[in-house]
Amino acid sequence: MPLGVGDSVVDASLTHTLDGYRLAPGTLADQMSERPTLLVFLRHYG
Amino acid sequence: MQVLYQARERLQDVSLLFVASSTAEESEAFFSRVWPNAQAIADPEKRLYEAFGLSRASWAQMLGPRVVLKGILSLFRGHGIGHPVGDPRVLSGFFLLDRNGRIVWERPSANSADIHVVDEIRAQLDALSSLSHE
Repeated sequence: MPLGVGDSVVDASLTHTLDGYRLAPGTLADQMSERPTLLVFLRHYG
Repeated sequence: MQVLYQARERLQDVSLLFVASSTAEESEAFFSRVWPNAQAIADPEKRLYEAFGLSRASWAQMLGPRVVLKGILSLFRGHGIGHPVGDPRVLSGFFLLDRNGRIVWERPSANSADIHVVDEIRAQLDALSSLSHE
């Protein structure tokens, strides 16, 4: 089942270390901050 | 993404975290040029897309009448079709997480051109903010 409303990304099995642009080291849970987070999934760019 | 960039002043109280199906190098090359302050996850293996149910658009979602119409309108506005970076068959989507990482709102796109949700995001942020002040 995909993650949805009510699920927590902290509890989900998303334990792999992320790579990318200007990220905090660690997993998705490690990217959380004092503010809410809007995850924006892109189709592609170009 | 252009819609979000134009609305960034209205979204200052939320951390935007982009997810792209490109490599880290491609993400850096792109974001350092168009939105240097952004944060972006490189997900070429599409683990996050998979986890959030956005891994593969159907051909109907990619080439439905609404998507084709938007593409034609975009061409008339002078926007060409560039070489896509990343997997063009993944779906776009928005997920709002509270400070504890719990998903409080989601808008997985019905099709790949459906991204005009800034007002909805703003309303959700206002609702979250009023909850945290109660």
